[in-house]
Amino acid sequence: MSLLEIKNISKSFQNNLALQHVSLTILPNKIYGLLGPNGAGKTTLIRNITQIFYPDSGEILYNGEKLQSKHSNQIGYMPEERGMYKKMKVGEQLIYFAKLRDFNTKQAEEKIDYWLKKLDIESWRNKNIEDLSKGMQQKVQFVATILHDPKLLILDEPFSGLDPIAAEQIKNEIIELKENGTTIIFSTHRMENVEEICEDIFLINKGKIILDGNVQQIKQDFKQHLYKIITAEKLNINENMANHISIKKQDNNELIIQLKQDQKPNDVLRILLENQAEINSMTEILPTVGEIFIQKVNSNQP
Amino acid sequence: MRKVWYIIQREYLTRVRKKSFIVITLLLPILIGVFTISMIKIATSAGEKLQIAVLDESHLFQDKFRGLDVGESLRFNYLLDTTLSYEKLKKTYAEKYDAFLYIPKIDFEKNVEVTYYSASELGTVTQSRIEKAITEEVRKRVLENKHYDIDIIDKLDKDIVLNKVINDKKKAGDSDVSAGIGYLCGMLIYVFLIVYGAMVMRGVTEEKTNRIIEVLITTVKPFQLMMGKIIGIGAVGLTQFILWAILTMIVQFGLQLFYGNELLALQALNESSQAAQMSDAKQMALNFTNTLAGLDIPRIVFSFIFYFIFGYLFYAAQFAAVGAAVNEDTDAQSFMFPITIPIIISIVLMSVTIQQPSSGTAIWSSMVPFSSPIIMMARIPFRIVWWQQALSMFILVISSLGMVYVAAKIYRIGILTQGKKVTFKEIGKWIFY
Repeated sequence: MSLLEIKNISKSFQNNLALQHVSLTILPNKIYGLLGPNGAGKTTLIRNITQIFYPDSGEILYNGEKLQSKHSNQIGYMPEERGMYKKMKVGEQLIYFAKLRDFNTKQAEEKIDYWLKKLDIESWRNKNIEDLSKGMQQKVQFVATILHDPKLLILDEPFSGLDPIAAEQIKNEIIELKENGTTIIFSTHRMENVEEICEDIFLINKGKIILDGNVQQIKQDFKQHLYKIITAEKLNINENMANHISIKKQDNNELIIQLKQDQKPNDVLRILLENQAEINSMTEILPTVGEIFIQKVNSNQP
Repeated sequence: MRKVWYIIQREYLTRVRKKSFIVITLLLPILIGVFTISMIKIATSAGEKLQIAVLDESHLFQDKFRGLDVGESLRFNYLLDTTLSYEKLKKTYAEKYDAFLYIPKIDFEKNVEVTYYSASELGTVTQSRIEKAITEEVRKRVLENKHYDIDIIDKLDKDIVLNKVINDKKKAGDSDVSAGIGYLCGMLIYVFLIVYGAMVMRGVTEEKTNRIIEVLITTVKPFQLMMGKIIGIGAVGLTQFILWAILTMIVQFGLQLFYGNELLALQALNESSQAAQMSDAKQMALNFTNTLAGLDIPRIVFSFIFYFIFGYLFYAAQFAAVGAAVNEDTDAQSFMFPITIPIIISIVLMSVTIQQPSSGTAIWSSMVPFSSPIIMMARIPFRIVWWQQALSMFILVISSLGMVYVAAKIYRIGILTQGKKVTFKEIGKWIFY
């Protein structure tokens, strides 16, 4: 059964249609990437899930039930521009957030101990937030977000401002959380993260979902049958080759070709071999999520 | 409800533990103490023990200087032996006295010249008191010389005091004291509204610009958050006032212990510098105590707390709405203006009110919730009729609840509206959203 079922929701602000008939199914125990250019409606969609806003039409089901305030303790949300009380100590702040999530002080202390240790930030416990670097604050915010063991975790640009080591640490935590049964929706512009972590993506533009599905599947769907061929020496293209192979680019001993209709990689190889080419390797070039993103968004422009 | 309680706790504790709060809370009573002590020191001739020998050749002033003694610090010794010359006196008594007051034999037809000999300057208050005492006596003697009846002249000198019957109860005392207390109460509420209102606003804006709100709002309703903040900060203000009251009392008590005599003297000094004679000063002191006794203290205290709380609620709600609507502290100025204007107008109206507590302006402005916390508080020491206060309180309660309702609507939308600058028109739309 789906964890979250978004059924045909729309939301508008004054004259601006932020979401138009958006439907999504979020299955448990998966990592989803929510992609889209600025102003596409990502934040509005997230705010509908976190119940900051309510949709004008359509409905959201959580575990088959209509989404309501009692579910908010099962959802963790880390907004893009992180917020913490600057003049409060790390420990106090985390306890405050935990208490608002219906923890008692003792439970909260235990949880905080565990997470601060796990992320090597125990020594910051009695520091004021304003004395921490941006990346450090982010780690604290991450702890605040997952403190109550949410079933659904929504992270908005969780890696921005983090150094590579901290980013790796958070990434591993996210993967571990997923393995322990948490569903994660994660909104980002950073395509390399999406490819690394996400299993499924949603692409949203101008308030509409324009693409959704499994990352590998989408890559297959969008592939342009491009191959990279590396030869021992720079190839001299003769007439026979030019007639049968569509060559996109040649760069020293590197050749990028696109298969013609009904052509197989073997067909290309055969032609090359017939012409005494010495081939070191041939690999398929799949589009990156970033390229698909740009292509989809641009093709949607009026 | 429990969440609101946590929010109140956070708002309260983080502020009360701040160094600035502790410093200001301690500093004010200390300043009051320091100020009182320095007043004592200055007024009683820099705190010296001044022994003044009076040499009166005409023997007219024998009893007149006794009343001028001020505790230990100022003593007049009337010398009965008037045959001694100043030169001789200086030699004989230099050890015993700090100064000599020489009043030559008085010729009523000529100007009277009195001389003060000393190694150091005389305090101004003491000087004027000596001058007054002598002038008064000389005047009487001159009139006596001209065969006027001194008793009649004494009577003419007495001020006439109005006997006031308020609500069929005879009330002794003075409107000045009521006015002073009214003014003080109004002023305190004014300061509180401005300082703590602005604190609410800054707190709300902080949460908005820091985006803490986006995390909080997933677990707490906007209304809970707003009320938690308003109540928490209000409690900080109340704590500060209570601490001020207690600490000031402690300081005053300490002063009584260490400077008891001087304090009494200071009171007498203050009063006698207005009144010509000691008897008048006593009359005034009596007046003051009478007025204090005549004041309805429980009513004043109750009203103060009431107007304090609901006036704060009325204005803090507005400040919270503004804090939610703006994006930065700097934007807040233009929106704060319409809120602070009524508060400032109230202060202007207060001085009118105190002079004429039952004028139309006073009555109306003590009904309107924008000015009633300040104006009604200034009127209450004058024992205004109960129905007026009851009506004013009723209006204030209803309007502060209404204001909270409206503010919550603005807050709910404003707090999540990022980026663009808002206009009054837009805020108006939010109310009816």
